[in-house]
Amino acid sequence: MNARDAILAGLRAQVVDPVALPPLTGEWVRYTDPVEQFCAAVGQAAGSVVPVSASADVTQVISELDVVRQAMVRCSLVSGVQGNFAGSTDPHAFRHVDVLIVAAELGVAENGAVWIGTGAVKVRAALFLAQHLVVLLPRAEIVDNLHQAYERIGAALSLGGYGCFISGPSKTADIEQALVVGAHGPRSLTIVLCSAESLAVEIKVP
Amino acid sequence: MTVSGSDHPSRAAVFLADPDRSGWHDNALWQIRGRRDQRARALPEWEALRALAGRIKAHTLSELPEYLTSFEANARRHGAEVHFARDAAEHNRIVLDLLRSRGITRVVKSKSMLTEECRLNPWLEHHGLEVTDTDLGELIVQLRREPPSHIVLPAIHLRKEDVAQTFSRVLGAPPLSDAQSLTEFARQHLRAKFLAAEAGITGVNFAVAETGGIVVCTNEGNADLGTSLPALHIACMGMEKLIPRAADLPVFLRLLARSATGQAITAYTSHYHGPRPGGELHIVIVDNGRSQLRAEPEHRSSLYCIRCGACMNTCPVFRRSGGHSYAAHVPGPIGSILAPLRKPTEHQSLPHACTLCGSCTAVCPVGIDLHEQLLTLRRRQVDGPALLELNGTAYRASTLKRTFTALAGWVLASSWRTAWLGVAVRFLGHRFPALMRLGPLGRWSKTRSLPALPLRSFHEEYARRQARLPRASGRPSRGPGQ
Repeated sequence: MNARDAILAGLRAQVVDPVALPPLTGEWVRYTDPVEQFCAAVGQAAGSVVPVSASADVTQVISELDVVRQAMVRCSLVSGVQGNFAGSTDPHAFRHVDVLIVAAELGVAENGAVWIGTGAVKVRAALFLAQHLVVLLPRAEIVDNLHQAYERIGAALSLGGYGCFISGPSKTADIEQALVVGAHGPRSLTIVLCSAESLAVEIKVP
Repeated sequence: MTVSGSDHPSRAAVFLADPDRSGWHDNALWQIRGRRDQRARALPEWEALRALAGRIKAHTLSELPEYLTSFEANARRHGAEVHFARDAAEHNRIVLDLLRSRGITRVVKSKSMLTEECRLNPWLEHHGLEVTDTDLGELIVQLRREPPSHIVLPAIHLRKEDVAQTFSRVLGAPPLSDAQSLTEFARQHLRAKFLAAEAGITGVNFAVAETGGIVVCTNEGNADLGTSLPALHIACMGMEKLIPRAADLPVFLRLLARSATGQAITAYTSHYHGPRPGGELHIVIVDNGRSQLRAEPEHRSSLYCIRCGACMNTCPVFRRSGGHSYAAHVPGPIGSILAPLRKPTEHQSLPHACTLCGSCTAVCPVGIDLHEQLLTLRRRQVDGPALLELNGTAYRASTLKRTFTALAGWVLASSWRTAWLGVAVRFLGHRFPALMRLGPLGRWSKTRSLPALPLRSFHEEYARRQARLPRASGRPSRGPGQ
């Protein structure tokens, strides 16, 4: 018998008392001001938030960010924001990218994470090779807690692909518990909070 | 580090020989426990989440074969290949075959306790492959040829001077003195490894049966780089990592990082459903004794463990004795259950590396009754159903220990025998105090002085005072106003 069948047969031969699958109804945390809580949580995760008013030009705000201005190689997956590196199908090509600009599908107030959904980034290595990450997020897409986030993304997960919650920049505390930002991935994470109207999120896929 | 002695106390003595180091270790872990507490208190639904997580795991285990097959089918639907391994050797063979058949020699690995359990690294290195551990803590211990001492903080037993010395000795690093520059050095070193890698091996935090996806959590982003650059991704998971629905993920993700490090969520929570375009994803599902655990009603819940390490951070024994004193791939309270269940003879001292304070049980995010199970293991060593090795040999404690335990049980079962034991101990303690520091009793007085023994037992003292009370007042009054 092969390993699969042997393991399954062994398990099926065991007598284990049935336990019902519990329903997921619960009183999950809500915030009076989810946006404020989101910003605080991003700060705790060593990220930063740049709020943009409805009247301001988002693309201009992004291009004036320090991490964007100082970048030699800029890769933008957001239409309207100019980059100078168009991307590639070879993940290794993103090794020189200084800043990557992407759009997130949603943000989570309780933990400051943003969801980069399946299909948002075709070459996912770009998210981790870039020295700095700028994420565009419409305020209206901030949910209170992680349960609400999965209500939104659950169906897309079943379709396959890659998706990631990102909370702050890459970090480690493996040496004496001292927090160091910039372990292997991006050294900084800037979340640009915009209003839905000011955003023409047309995601480009490299 | 060379580990001397065959049991936990003697290995702990090695760690405790350096009081600065062990004191720092104790304090560092206690701070993490404090951060965990703050996070837990900030969520009104914390206890509801813990209860829910335990019930989801209990349910999944009760229908494990069904969830395994549904996960397998859904993962294949996304183009992943699913392999099953009965034991560590089979797991290692599968991984090696996948690499060798593609002519791969350079592999990057992110943290996976399962591959530690299976001793995958030595196996691959033995077959001529270069395996680089990419979690910073794991890299440090790999360069030192040591096992991790903690499942979340692999190098928590080391100070930054140790890391600097290791980097300069093995990697030729310049003299570096702070965590920031040491981490930057590792970043540069590992970036070259990531870019040159031909395969990435990761563990799995959660596998979702309903969607056929796997979820991997890291703070450094090392798993993500290791799986997005090379074309081949091999994910190794114990079969207890399954959960039924995507909607169960938030329950566990909300508990995991808060319990582990006091973060609200890890920096990266990657969801893989199938391989990346043009790549391959192979998922290896491992039994290696887990079926046996499922069959043990008293220990089944040890399979709920999500490897957050909270039980280690809170454990007074772990904090003081260090992870290496357990000589098990998973140390601490949960390891002291898992290791003796697997190899009772080799790990017989671990159920005793516990004060039964219950702090581990109080913090466990999935509600494992850790200290109760440790007590059960002790009982089984003495007079319960013997513990069975994986190969079927039974383990019981030594005759000496069982005789002593039986004798102690006989004495303590009777009040007058216990009273006479007290008389004898007080007599000997007063006349020959040195006796109390000899033999097994001496262990107690090694690092603390013996308190002065009272002249009389409580009962004797009570009787004396009663007798001395003035007869006129009769029985003592019950207090003012009576």
